[in-house]
Amino acid sequence: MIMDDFLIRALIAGLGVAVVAGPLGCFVVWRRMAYFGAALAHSALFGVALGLLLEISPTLAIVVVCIAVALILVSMQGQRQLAGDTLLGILAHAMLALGLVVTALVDTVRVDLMAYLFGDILAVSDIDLYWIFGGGVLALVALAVIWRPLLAMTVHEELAAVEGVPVARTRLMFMVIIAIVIAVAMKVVGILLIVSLLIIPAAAARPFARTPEAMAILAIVAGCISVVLGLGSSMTWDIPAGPAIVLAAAVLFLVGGLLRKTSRSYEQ
Amino acid sequence: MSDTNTAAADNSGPAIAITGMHKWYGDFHVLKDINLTVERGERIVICGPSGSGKSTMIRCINRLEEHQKGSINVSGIELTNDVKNIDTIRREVGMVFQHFNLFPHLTVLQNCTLAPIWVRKMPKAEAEEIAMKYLTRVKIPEQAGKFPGQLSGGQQQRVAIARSLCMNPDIMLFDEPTSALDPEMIKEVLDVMVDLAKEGMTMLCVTHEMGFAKQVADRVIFMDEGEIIEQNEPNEFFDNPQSDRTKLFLSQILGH
Ligand SMILES: Nc1ncnc2c1ncn2[C@@H]1O[C@H](COP(=O)(O)OP(=O)(O)OP(=O)(O)O)[C@@H](O)[C@H]1O
Ligand SMILES: [Mg+2]
Repeated sequence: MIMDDFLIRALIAGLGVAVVAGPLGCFVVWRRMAYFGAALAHSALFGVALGLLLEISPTLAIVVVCIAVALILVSMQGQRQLAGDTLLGILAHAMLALGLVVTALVDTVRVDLMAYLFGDILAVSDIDLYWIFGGGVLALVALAVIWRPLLAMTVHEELAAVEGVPVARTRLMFMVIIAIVIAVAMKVVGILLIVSLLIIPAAAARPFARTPEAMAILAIVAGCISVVLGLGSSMTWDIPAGPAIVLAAAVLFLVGGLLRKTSRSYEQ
Repeated sequence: MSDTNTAAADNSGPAIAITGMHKWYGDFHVLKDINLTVERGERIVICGPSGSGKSTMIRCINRLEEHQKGSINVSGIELTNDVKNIDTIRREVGMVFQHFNLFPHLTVLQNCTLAPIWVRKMPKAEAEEIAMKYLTRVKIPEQAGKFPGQLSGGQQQRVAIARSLCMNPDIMLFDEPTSALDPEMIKEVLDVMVDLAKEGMTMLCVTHEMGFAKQVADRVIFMDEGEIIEQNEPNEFFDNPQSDRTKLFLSQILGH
């Protein structure tokens, strides 16, 4: 098989995203923030629309919108009127709807909605690659800086506060990192599937890892395998690449779970 | 006390001094005119009906909750919005919660060294040495390499106590540390707390374990509807309660 240029770019982009999504996804799993991540991802389309409207980089606009939505969600955490999942559901879908509406309104150059919703990894450009690697490295470094404090907060937020962890600052940084990763991962799997790229490799790694760091590394490995398998099957059977990657990750998760069941896990 | 900016702990005065403290949640007046002085090395047990404000009161002491009126001094440092003061006070005060919440992916030892290494920047070897010392003190040094999921609830709560001691606090707050445990595990945790009390730790414990109160408390405080209704040394408190509310409460928890 001839390794086409676009395929190599797709592979690099996919692997780049998998390397950041793995460790970040571990925290999304540990902190039970899958719905939070989904809400941010759903808001990303509004970021795209805003980018078109203001003629700025859509990636930048996505980061800004995601951070804004994250801040709104955090500031509403204390309220007691609405259950957390209800609030997330409302915000996620309202933002997605808003994104669709505004996109339609500013649609002068015909936006490829499918690409935003489900990813278009085979059309990754050099500029996209710069974003993925620039954003990815930034996110990884930031995550490394807050790794331990965030871990302590994940165990018990109040205990961490009592022990002197700068809780508010760490939480804010974590959200910014999620926003960045969502913005750069969107090209690969799209708004609707981003969260799966965060949580499935992490969940697949979980039963095999004995330390948080090992789980992060295994999640990276699982993510990279999924990208390779997904792109391969996309080429072989002419199926959409983003969904193929997610499916590959899900298969890994299942196989891993079955393997582990036969050899018994140490924790719940 | 001192209103200088250099927040330094003063170990000569009382450990905790709360005067005229009030707290509201919105319109709800949850703590009303709390006055409480805790001397160094004093052991205090706080009891009272559910919702009376016991947790809220001790959570004000390390600023997990903010009070709106009156003052709280810990080791001579007043709790204000000054982040430096809050930080210094949190260094003085350890806390054990009802639910032990250890990290399942870290060993017992790693759970104990996480904060000392990453918040206090203690060298790993030193943090581990200290952790082993406290795990020995709570009588589970042999569990250091295990994961929390492999321990019983009582053992996990003892790890939580050891973990808190690793930060070398002068004052320990306990919020119903045994109420989530199976009955057969309560004693092992209380025994550890009794040892801690004997060593002279300043302790404030919210608990309904009246045996523990009789054994170690210097003072028992009864709260109801956000107020301190009565406080006395344990024998007087149990044998000769003054207010009707205290009598009613004691008859409910002791007389079944
Ligand atoms: N975040 C909050 N917002 C509003 N009200 C609150 C909040 N936290 C606690 N309360 C209320 O404040 C009152 C005191 O609560 P607190 O938890 O201090 O009681 P407690 O004495 O510890 O009770 P328990 O024995 O059940 O633990 C209760 O009526 C509770 O409903
Ligand atoms: Mg309570």
